[in-house]
Amino acid sequence: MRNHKLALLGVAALTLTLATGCAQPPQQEIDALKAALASAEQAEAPKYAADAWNAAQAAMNSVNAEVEAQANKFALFRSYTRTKELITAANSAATEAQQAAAVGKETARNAANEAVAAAKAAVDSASALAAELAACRRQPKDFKKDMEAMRGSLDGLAAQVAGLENQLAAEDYFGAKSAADSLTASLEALSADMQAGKEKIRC
Amino acid sequence: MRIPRPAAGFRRRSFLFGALGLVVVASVAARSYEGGPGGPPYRPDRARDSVRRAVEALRPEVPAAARLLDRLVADAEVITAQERNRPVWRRSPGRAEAAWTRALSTAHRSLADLRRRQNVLQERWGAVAAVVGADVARALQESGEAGVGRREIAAAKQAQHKWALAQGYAAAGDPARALAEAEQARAFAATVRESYVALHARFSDPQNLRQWRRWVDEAVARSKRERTTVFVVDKLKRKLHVYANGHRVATYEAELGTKGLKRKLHSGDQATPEGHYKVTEVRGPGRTRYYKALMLDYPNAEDRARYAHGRRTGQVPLRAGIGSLIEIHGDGGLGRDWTDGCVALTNADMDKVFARARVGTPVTIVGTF
Repeated sequence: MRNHKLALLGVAALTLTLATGCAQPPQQEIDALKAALASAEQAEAPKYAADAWNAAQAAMNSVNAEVEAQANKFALFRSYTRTKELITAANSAATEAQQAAAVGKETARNAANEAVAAAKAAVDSASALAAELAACRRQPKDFKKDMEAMRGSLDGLAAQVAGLENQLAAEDYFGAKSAADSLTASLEALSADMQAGKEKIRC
Repeated sequence: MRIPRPAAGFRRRSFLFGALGLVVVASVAARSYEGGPGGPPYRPDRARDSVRRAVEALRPEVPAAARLLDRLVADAEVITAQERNRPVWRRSPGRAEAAWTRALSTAHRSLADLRRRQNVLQERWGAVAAVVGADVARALQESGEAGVGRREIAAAKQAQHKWALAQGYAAAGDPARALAEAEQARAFAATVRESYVALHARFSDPQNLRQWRRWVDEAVARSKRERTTVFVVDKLKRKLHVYANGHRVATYEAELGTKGLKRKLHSGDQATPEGHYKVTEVRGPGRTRYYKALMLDYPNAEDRARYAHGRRTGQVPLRAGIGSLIEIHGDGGLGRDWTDGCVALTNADMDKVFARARVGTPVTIVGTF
């Protein structure tokens, strides 16, 4: 009877040890989380979604801290339940950062494309105005000099469009947008001058 | 009364369970004890905030430094967690603090590097801005000069545009981009400058100067000898001088052809010719588009010889003639060169010049003298 009790106690202790003492950190989930963070970084989250990226980094740090906390506990007291919860939260944060980066990049790309398209449209519009002005029947005495200056200015501004295309190709969306906005403003000023010229000579 | 002693087996078991209980209690107490050889565990809240702010500042400018800090923070967080959860006897006092100090000092160093670099760029911008601003302003002015072509006007416009972009970036606190744009602005301005200098080189060429001075001396001597009036046009200074009996009696502001600083070679080049000419016809109001006009005998023999040479050497376009109808006329006073090669005066000045002119009055046009 006494031997029977001791045997039962031994089995219970062994089961408890196996159930808790051998708990291992969820390495697969941690690796998956690292991969998710790497994907977010590759999606340029630090550049296009800095806040979401910081949150994902902080979540990853919490996971690491929790893993270390559990690793330092006495084997019988280790539990990775909270670690898994933190991993889930960090995974969400990493996915969110990746998605926010994609959205941010897309927004920047669209804004840059729109600005470049507006600059190209302004070039076309100014070119059309220059052609109309050149075809004008009334040409005052200083007309040639003015036309030469306007065409030269138009040539100079139109030449900037190639630089915008290069910036877009290099994914420098913020730079392309500010350069395109500035170019559009210059072209609009030139068009306004040409329009005023047209009205002045009643073309 | 006698208390019965427990059996020996029971005493042994009680001792074992009691000892085990003591070990568990001691272990839990050791883990939850926040003090230790080095005092309470390090609290990294302030360091964490400082490093986070540094990362935010560094990320757009120096992403590599921000990534390094991210890694150092991750390491420091792990070490902090380890130290917090270790039993008292396994704790290393100052280890977590050292990890955060490492992150903090790296952040401070990176920020200092960034600020130093920004200061250097800012200083360079300050030095470059004054020079490039002046270059661009000069390019814009020079692109309006007679003889400077459409290519130079385009270059001046590009310089102006790049300069505006550079100033925008500088105002937005991005001196690196501002400097890059300013360098491009400077390159475009240099294109204009190069053409301008080439255009003006002939006005400082001693051989040309000697010839022009000789022409003027001849004209003045003729005026003195024949007791007559001669007109001398200085293209570079845009002046028309009137000489009577060998003395200069009046000077008027003049405007030239759109490319008036060049020497006329063929029709349509908008250049103003250089040489000895004479008035072939005087046209009053109603006989000219430009108020009053003195028709000149361009082309003279020298012009014809130069045109023929130009045809032979390919300097003259195939269908271009030598040109004609070079005049001194009114309707000037626009403040710039705008004619097709003629010399334009204000109507008031034209009245005075017209009053002194006759058919045959000599007109000498020179680069400068």
